[in-house]
Amino acid sequence: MFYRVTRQTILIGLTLLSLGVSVKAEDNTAEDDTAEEFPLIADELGESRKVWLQNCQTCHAYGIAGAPIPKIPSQWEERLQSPLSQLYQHAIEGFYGESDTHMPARGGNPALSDAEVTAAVDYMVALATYYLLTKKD
Amino acid sequence: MKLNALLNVKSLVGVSVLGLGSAFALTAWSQDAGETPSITPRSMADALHMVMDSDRAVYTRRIVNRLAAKDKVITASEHFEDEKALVLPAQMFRFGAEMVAERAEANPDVNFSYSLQSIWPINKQNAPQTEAEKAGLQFVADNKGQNYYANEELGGVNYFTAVYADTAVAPVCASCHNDHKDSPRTDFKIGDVMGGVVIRIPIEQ
Ligand code: HEC
Ligand code: HEC
Repeated sequence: MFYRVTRQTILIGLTLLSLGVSVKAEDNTAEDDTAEEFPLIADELGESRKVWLQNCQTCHAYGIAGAPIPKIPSQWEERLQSPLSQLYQHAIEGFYGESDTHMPARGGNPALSDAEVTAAVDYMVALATYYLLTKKD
Repeated sequence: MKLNALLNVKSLVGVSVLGLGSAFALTAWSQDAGETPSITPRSMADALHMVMDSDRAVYTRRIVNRLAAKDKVITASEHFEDEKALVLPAQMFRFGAEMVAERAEANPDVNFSYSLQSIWPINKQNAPQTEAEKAGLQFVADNKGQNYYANEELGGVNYFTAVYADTAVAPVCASCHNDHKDSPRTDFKIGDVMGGVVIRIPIEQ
């Protein structure tokens, strides 16, 4: 299987290798405990995390409106196969999923720049990849 | 699972003990099962909420999102009659709750009520009345992802009361409430908890 190789993924891979991190993936609600579990290496990732926490986790950490939760690998496995450009476009322009679930343009915050939205996508993709690679089952 | 067990029992009974007596015994057993308390008030409230929440999500997605937001063939509006529009998801929910209240009155076996409330209500009738409602709505607003459960006594009757968050799932949830002349709160953002569903079930003690 192919997983997208972004700078974040490589960083995560390296950290996983060097730390041998173990993750508990059962709890899929609050994002708060993610900070300890999900190794943050680069400051840039910290910046994208900030955008994500302020604008995206409100739906994506809980599944509100049908938003896919990064901590649940099955909800991201397929999305991680689509081109990053499509994920960016869907996040910036908004889109309707197959069962008419709605991802609003820029997560519903028109004040976000393209760069901020794509950074938040990078963060979420990294988070989802992390949980997918470390899932225990 | 129960059904499977029942079917297994049925075929076993059919194969090993032929006769009307056993068929009668089986009927008596399954009738008893319907009368035996086996579901807690909490699991009943959770199940009821799951049904109403899923129905509302389907209405929001398959009808309002698809026809009003995506295909733009009709609008959804508070003034749906004048504007020949779809009812809002919150109105759809309230109409359902009102119909249940009416029908439950005529059927003493069905004994529960539910409503959509908020500590920042557009319609003052949707403000919390009891202490458990107030505490519950505050709790679900402060603890996203969690439900609130309490016992309360009202007019000499004991109730189990559950409160489930109601969240702004689309930009229009926040904008319509923020812009509404009767809204006491004008800074809702997408993803905010805007209110809650209150389910109340009488319990014997
Ligand atoms: C109102 C809730 C909500 C908010 C807030 C939200 N999303 Fe989403 N998002 C959704 C839903 C719902 C979907 C899934 C739609 C579907 O595929 O069914 C989704 C899907 C996605 C996807 C997957 C796209 C794809 O092609 O599969 C990405 C990427 C995404 N969101 C990024 C973001 C980012 C970045 C933010 C914050 C800036 C954000 N979302 C905020 C509801 C939300
Ligand atoms: C076009 C305007 C509009 C939209 C969109 C809208 N609402 Fe409302 N909402 C109302 C009105 C008007 C009421 C009062 C209805 C009544 O008379 O009970 C209401 C009632 C409510 C209540 C009960 C408390 C109160 O304010 O009276 C909640 C909770 C609520 N809405 C949440 C939501 C959520 C969540 C969404 C998005 C899924 C949403 N609303 C979308 C107009 C709107």
